Order: sequence, then structure tokens, then C-alpha cells
Amino acid sequence: MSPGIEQLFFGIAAVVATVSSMLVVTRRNPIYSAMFLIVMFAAVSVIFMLLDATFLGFMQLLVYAGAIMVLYLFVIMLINPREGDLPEESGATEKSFAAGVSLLIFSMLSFAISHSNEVERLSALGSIPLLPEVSDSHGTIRAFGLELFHNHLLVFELTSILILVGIIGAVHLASRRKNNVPHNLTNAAEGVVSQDV
Amino acid sequence: MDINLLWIPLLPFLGFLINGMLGSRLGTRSVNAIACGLPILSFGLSYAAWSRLLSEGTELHWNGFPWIWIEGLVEIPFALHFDAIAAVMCMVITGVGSLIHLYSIGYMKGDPGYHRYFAYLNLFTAFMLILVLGDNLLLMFIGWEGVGLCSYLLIGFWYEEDANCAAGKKAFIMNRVGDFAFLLGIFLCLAHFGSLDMSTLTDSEMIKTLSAETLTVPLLGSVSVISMIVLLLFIGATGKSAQIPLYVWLPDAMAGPTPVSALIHAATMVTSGVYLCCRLMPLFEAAPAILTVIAGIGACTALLAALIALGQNDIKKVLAYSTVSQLGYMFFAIGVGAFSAAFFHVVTHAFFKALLFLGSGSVIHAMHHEQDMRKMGGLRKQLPFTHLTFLIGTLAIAGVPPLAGFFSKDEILFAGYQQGFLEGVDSAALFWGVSFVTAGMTAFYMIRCVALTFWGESRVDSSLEGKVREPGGWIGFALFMLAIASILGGFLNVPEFLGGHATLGHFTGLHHASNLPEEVVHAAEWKSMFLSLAVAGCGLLLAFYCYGKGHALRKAFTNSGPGKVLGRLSVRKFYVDEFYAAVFVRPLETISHLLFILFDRILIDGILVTGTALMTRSVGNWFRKMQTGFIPGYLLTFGCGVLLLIYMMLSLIQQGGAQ
Amino acid sequence: MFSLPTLLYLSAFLFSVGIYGVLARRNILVVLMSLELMLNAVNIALVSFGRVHALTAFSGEHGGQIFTLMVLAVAAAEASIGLSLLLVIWRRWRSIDLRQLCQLNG
Repeated sequence: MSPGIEQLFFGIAAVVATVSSMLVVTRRNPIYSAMFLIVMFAAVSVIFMLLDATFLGFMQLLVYAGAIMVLYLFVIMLINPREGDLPEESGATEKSFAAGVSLLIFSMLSFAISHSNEVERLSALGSIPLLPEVSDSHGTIRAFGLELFHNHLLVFELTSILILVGIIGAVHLASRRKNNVPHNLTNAAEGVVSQDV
Repeated sequence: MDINLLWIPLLPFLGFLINGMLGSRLGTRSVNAIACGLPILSFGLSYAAWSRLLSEGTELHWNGFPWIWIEGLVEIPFALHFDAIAAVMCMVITGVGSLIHLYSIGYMKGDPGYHRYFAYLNLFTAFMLILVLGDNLLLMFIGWEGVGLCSYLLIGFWYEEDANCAAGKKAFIMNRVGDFAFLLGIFLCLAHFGSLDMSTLTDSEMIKTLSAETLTVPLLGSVSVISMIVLLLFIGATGKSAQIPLYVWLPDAMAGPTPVSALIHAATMVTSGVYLCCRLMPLFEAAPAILTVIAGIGACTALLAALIALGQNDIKKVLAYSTVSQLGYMFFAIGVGAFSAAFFHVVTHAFFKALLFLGSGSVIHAMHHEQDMRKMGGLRKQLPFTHLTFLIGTLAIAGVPPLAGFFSKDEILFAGYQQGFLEGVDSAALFWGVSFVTAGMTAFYMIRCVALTFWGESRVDSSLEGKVREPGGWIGFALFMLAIASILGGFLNVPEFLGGHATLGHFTGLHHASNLPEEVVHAAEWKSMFLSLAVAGCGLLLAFYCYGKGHALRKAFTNSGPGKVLGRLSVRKFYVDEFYAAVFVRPLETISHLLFILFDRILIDGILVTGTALMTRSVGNWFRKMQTGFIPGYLLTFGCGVLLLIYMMLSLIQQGGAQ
Repeated sequence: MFSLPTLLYLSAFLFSVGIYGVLARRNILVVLMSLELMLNAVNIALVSFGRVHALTAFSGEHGGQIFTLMVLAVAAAEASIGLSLLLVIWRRWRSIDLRQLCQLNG
């Protein structure tokens, strides 16, 4: 793939990711948020592939867009919130406060990126500091798998345990038990208040 | 045959462990077998060791193990030693002790704390044997404290009643006063002798070198080290052996079961002070000034206790004051240098006082725990055997020949006579006079006790009519054995002028040959003997006329002016308890209460405990408000935290880059 | 344009957007999605760094990618647990409003 096309694809993917991420956090209906999130995942997957992480790009699509987001959609369908169930969103003050914090974080991160030695070194190399040359097999399942199961086996096993724990936890929490009677939130809250010292 | 000395105290201790831990699950029979069997075994071992000492002359020694051991500085082994004095004491403790254990089977029958009682009694025997066998002062102190503990436990044995618990506490606290001095004495010994071994403490060379050293003591000025040690040890002994000023606990200690009074508060434990003096005889002899003090305190205690005994109506109180009085005799003997006589009196007193107490126990048992002699009388018919044995004990303590008390008391009185008149020491003569009068009073109050209890008309409560029966079985057996011992005990140490050899005195090495010509001494001995016989006889006859036959004489005396005063003083125990209460107890209570309010209630409870709680609560209340449960709030805080972290990392990196 | 700084800026931007979503939204579902967004932002940074240092990195040629795979697994576990918690909350109180879950107050 020629550098020009790479640039183009990256530009499109970056713009799509940026825009859809912003839409994710601003849509009122969670269904829309979920849809835009899928779009963002896809864009990120494209970026991964551009970075020669072919296998990971597919994984991103499979796991995130395929599995996790399906889970989200299932839950949304399960609880099926009507318009009235959706929580009233925050006021302008809170939103602006949140925006302030996130902007601050972004500016600090940008500051860090622009002032880091690494970036300085790379920009000193030339106008377009491209990625280093790697073998053709970089990022393929074979190379990735060999390294994963040779050098990072323990981490891999630990991750599998983590997922196992996640499964058990999810099953346990979501299983419908008899004593799970719906409560009135305000009553329950009052009950707690009355126990107050 | 090799005898390990450790087994002698260990066997009763095992009995304590077994009965103490499993007693409630064992049957009465097993408890009896263990509680009585093990002290009897211990008696057998003591006898074996004793016969070996007699035949081969070897003093058994158990090296034990290094106990408190700092090389070259403090070296205290855990070692036991079986010399002649310890041998005699061991025989008395295990012998009389075993009899009292057997007696207790009858006396304590059906008591809810049966196994507990025997466990304590066994523990007492074990500690007493450690006290006697211990080869150094510290080990002796262990036994000393241990018997104090057992005494406390057994005085308060029937703890449901407050009075008994109070008596136990009184005994314990009074003993603490003495023990404190004892402990100081031990420290002083360690500081100056560098060792606590009996052999070092009695080493004449060592004592000679130390006698020149002096200490500066507040109030007393410059005192020789030896005198100070002896004084402190003697104060310790006054606590345990109930001498002025620490004697008041012993009469109260009668709140315990009667066999306990017999074993602990008459025969063995209270004589440990005398034993201590005998054990350290060379040390005590090196402090003649303190010996005079000891003689004075002994004689005064004997007189005071005898005076109080005259007016007591509780049969056990009479015997208790009589014990105090006899202990006074022993200390008087030590004070005049007659260690042999004192030790002899320890042994004979153990026999006849145990007999008297057990006899009174038999009466009390038969009378269903009635101790007031005014509600007795005429018990001779119902309790003939108890009467006989009690009378033997009475005559023995009164000094009627040839019973045990005659020989020992005569020896003590003669020792005083010898020092007072033959050697011309004025103070000794004075104290001899006091003891001499006391001897007559001893006979008087003991006959009074017998007369009120056994003779005359019955004043027994009608509800007990026909129920008063002679206790048989082990009670009778123990009385019988002790009566025999009281009759024959005196022949252990028949003086030379009566054709004996002073066997005990020579055996224990406490006997001193007099420097005076033999004829003079013998003549004085005859004179002294007749004097003491005469005074005892006077006492006996007077009591007989006052309480046995007719009461005219008594009435005339009690109605006269001095008689009234004396009678009142005697009944109220010379107001010593009231005096102590006013001078020591009440101020102490006031100060304690004040400190309790100030420190405990205000400082500890108020400021430290409640204050801490209040502070924690208020801080918690304050922090509680941060826990809003409002998740976005937490998230915001978290976000700000991340911001801060990134900022810090950035500034750190920048600083790093700048370098 | 397609270079390490750009990738990192993108990553930082997505991360900040995620933070905004977490802080500003009251819908638990959206908050969870914002978390996924943040994880993805970090993934981009990881893969980029891994690619740039592919030949010199201590963690191997695919270190960054493997790390990302782990993050993927963590995200999956987190999503499953988070969503089941959300289900329980919904069943109990019929609400997915973050601000109403304030019973753990002191």
C-alpha cells in the first residue's frame, strides 16, 4: 500500500473515530450511542490494520464490534427503556464542568506529546517520520501467535482466568433469583436514611 | 536406691493437676485416691530419704537446672536440698499433711467444691515442700508465695460468703507486706553475698567478712548489712508466721474449712517463718541486736495473743490466737538464740495444734457448723473420743509432762531463763517473764476452751438434740494418729538433764552447747522446769475452778473493775483491727477512692476512652459527609485525581528533561 | 500526517471524549460505553508505540499488540460484569440513572 493511500485511509478513519466518539457521548438514546460506538470501533480497527496489526484489527472487529457491542444491544433490548425511563440528562453546569476536566486532560496529554523527546526525535528525522520497516509476516496470526504463546504465555493464562471470573460473575449476578423483588428506589433510600446515626 | 528429690514436691503437684483439671469428672473415690495417695507416696519418699540420711549421713541433693542464670553475675539454680532440718520438716508436712488429707475425706463429704478443695490442698503441700526443700532463697520464696496463694484460696474456699472472701484478701494483703520485706531481704542478700544458695548464706567466713559492711538506711541511720538482711527477712517472717504487727490475718483465716486451719494455719505454713530463721541460723546469730528485737516481738505476740484468746467464744478463734501465741514462743526462742528449741516447738506444735484443730473440726462437724462455744457444753457424752483426743492436745499445749508440749516449751523457757539470768541479759529476763506468764495463760485458756465445749451442762441448741454424733472413719483415724504423735512427739528431743540426748537438736545441727559449767546449767534447768510446771499447773487449776467447778471465782473477777476492762479488751481483741482500720485501711481507701475518681473516672474513662471515642465519632461524622453515595461525584473526584497525577508526572518529566 | 504524534493526539482526544462521557452522562449504559471508548483510545496508543518500536522493544515485536489483546479481554470481562450489574440494578429499581444510586452514602 502506497504511503499516499495510507495517509488517506488514516485521515478518514481518524475523522470517523473522532466524530463518532463525540456522537457516542452526546446521543440521548443509548441505541444510537451503541451504533456510533460500533462505527468508532470499526474506525479504530482500520487504524490497527494500517499499523500492520492485521490480526489485532480483526480481533477488534470480532470482539468489540461483534461480541461486546452485541452484549450491549442485548441488554438494551432486555431492559427496553422507554423514553420516560431514560434518565434526565445533566444540566449545563455539570456538562461544562465535565467538559472542562476532559479538556484539561486533553491539553495536558497534548502538551506531553508535543514536548516528549520521542516526538522531538522523530520530527527531527524529516518531514514525514514514517514507521520502521518490518517483515511481511508482522502482525499476522502466525507471528503474533508464536510470540504470544512463547513469551507471554503466563499473561495469556491469567487473562483466561480473568475472563472465567467475569463469566461466573456475570452469570451469578444476572441470574434471576426469587428475592429480587423490584423496590421503590425512594422508599429504599428513605429506609437507609432512617437508619442513619 | 536413688531418690530423686524432685518427686517429693512433684507428686502432690501432680495430684493438684489431675484433681484440678479432671476432678469434676472423676468420681469421689478417684479424687480421694489421688488426693490422699500422692501425698502419702510423697511421705514414703521423704521417709526413704530420711532413713538414708540417718543411716548413711548423705544429704540428698537435686541439682535441677540453671534457672536465673547470668554467667558470673546472677547464678540461681533450681535445686533442691534435703538436709536434716528439711528432712524433719518434710516428714512433718507430708505426715501431718497426709493425715489431714485423710481427715478431710470425712470432713468435706458432700461439699460441692470437693475436688477443688483437694486440688488446693495438694497444691499447698507441693508448695510447702518446695519452700522447705528449696536450696536457695528465691526458690524458697516461690514456695513461700505459693503457700500464701493456697492459703488465700482455701480461706476463701466457701466464696459465696463475703466474709470469707474478705478474710482471704486480708490474709493475702497482710502477707504481701511481709513478702515485700522478704523480697528486699533477698535482693540485699544477692547484692552482698552474690548468691542466694543456702550454703553461701550460712557460710561463716562470708558472714564474717560481711559483718563489717554497713548500709545507710533512712530513719535507721547506719546499719550493718547483716542486721538489715536479718531484719528484712524477719519482717517477712512476721507476715507469714503471724507476729506483731502482722498477726491479725491469722484469726480471720479461720473462715476456711477446719482441716485447712489445721494444716496451713497451725501446723505447717505459719511455721515457715521459724523454719526460715532456723535455716539461716548463722546469719541470724550474726545480728544480735535484731535477735533481741525478735525475742521482744515474739514474747509480746505470745502475751497479746494469749490475752485475746482468754476472751474468745469461737472455738476456732481460741485455737487461732493460741497458734499466734505459740508462734510467738518460737520467735522468742529464736530471739534468745535457742534455734533448736524453736524448731523442736515447730514440730511438736504441728502435732498438737493439728490435733486440736482437727478435734475442733470434729466438734464443728458434729454440731453442724456451730462454732460458738457458748452454744456447746457437755459434749463429752456425745463425743467421747473427740473429747479424749482434744484433752490430750490441750494438756500437750499446756505443757503437762510427758506430752510433747512440755519438752519443747520447757526448752524455750529455759533458753530465756539461761540468757536472762545465767548470762545476765536484762531484756531476755524481761521477755522470759512475759513468756512465763503466758505459759500459765496458755494452760488457762485451753482448759477454758475444753470446759466450755465438753464439760458442764449442755447448752446445745434444741434443734440439734440427738443429732450430735461422733464422726468416725478417717476423722477418728487422723485424731488417733495425731494424739499418739502429741503424746510421743516430745521424746524426739529429751534434754540431757532428764537423761535424753537432745536427739533432734543434734540431728538438725541447731543445738548449741552452753559455755557455762555443766552443774550450773543442769541446776538451772531443773529450776526452770519446776517453775514452768508450777505456772502451767496454776493455770490449769485456776481454769478448772473458774470453768469446771463452780463459777464464783470467775464471776467475782469479771465483775471487778480491772476484770471488766480486761474482759472487754480481750473480747474486742484489744482493738487492733480497729486501730489498723483507722490508721492504714481508711486513709488508703480514701486516697484510692480519690485516685479512682481522678485517674480512672476522669482521666482514663473520661478523657482517654470516651474522649477518643468522641473524637473518632466526630471525625467520622465529618468524613461521612464525603461519602455522598453520589457516583458522578466520585467519578468527578476521580477525574480530578487523574488530572493531578498527569500534571505531576509531566512536571517530573520536565524536571528530568531539564537536568 | 500518519505518524506517531498524530496517532497519539487521536488517542488523547478519544480518551478525553471518554472522560467527558463518564463525567457528564447520567445513563449508566452510556457511561459504560464511554469506558470502552477510553480503553480503545489507550489501545491505539499501545499499538502505535508497539509499531514504532517493533524492532527494539523489550517486550518483543508484537508487545504492544499483545498488551492490547489483554486489554481486549479485560474490556470483555468488564463489559459482562458491568452489564449484569446494570441488569440487577434495573430489576431492583427500574432505573438506569446513575444519580439515583446514592444509597451508599454515609
